[in-house]
Amino acid sequence: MNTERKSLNLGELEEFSPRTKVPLHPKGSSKAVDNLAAFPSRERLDDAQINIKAPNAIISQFRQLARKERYRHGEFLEVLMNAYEGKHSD
Amino acid sequence: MPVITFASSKGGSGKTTSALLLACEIACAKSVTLIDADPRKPITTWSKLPNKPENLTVISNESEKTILDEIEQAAARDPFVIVDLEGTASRLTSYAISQSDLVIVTMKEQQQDALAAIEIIKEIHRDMQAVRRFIPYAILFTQSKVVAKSRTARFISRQFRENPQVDTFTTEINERDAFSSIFSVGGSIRSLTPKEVNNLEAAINNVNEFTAETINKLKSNNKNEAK
Repeated sequence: MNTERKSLNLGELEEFSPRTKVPLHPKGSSKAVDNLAAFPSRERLDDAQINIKAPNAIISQFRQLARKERYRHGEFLEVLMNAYEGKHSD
Repeated sequence: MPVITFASSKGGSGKTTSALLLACEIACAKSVTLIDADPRKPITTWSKLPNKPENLTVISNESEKTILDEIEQAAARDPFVIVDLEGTASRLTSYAISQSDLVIVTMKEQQQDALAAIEIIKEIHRDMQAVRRFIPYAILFTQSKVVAKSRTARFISRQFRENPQVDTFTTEINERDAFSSIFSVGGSIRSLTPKEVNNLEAAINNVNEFTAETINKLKSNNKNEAK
């Protein structure tokens, strides 16, 4: 019946528009939430493991950088891969 | 611009119904994306029924890893993004809250729902710390009786309404035939006819009031941010 009825004053909604500026979640915001949230992840882990052979200096550098930013190694690998893909998409 | 999230760590608190009512009503005037982040996918199921409003896009959430991107993409496309969360205390809930301009904490006027609402409010405050900004939130009573409320219901709602630190919607989503029937027949309450459901006019008024109050909260939050 009332399909044509508009309950809202359309002018009232004019100030709302899609976001055009800054990204909604700045890089690292999910990590910040992970650090403080009390609600746990409920999703099944799909983790796998790899054994990387590389020069000692590279392995040490990788570990140091990950530790500095408090990333687990798997998370830091993801950060590096995203950065790598970002370079190539430019 | 606004991202509105419906949250409660307990199922059956009225998140999905309230989210769908609001989304359909706003879609009368503006484009809306409704993200279905409930693993049972009730909104996605509804969207396959006839009469979905044209202005309304339904996105089915993939996982907690994708929710931030889903919200961001929707916010860049549509002026209104509404997220219907699962009824559990999960990290997905925390991520969605962290991106919200308004979190609507739904609850029935019952003890278990009240405890779940308090749990969500605590999490909202932790997420505020994480993202270093104020995240507005308000309690919405759902499935409430229009008349003859029980003593327990009155006792529980009074504790929230009289607490100056918790914003509470004046409007309640009442228990109505029209609200449950849209999940079986599809469309919004505006595509129903008085022959199909009881008290359709009252249901439409109820949704009008809820939508107007939500818009007012968003506008007043905008003003506070501008200051």
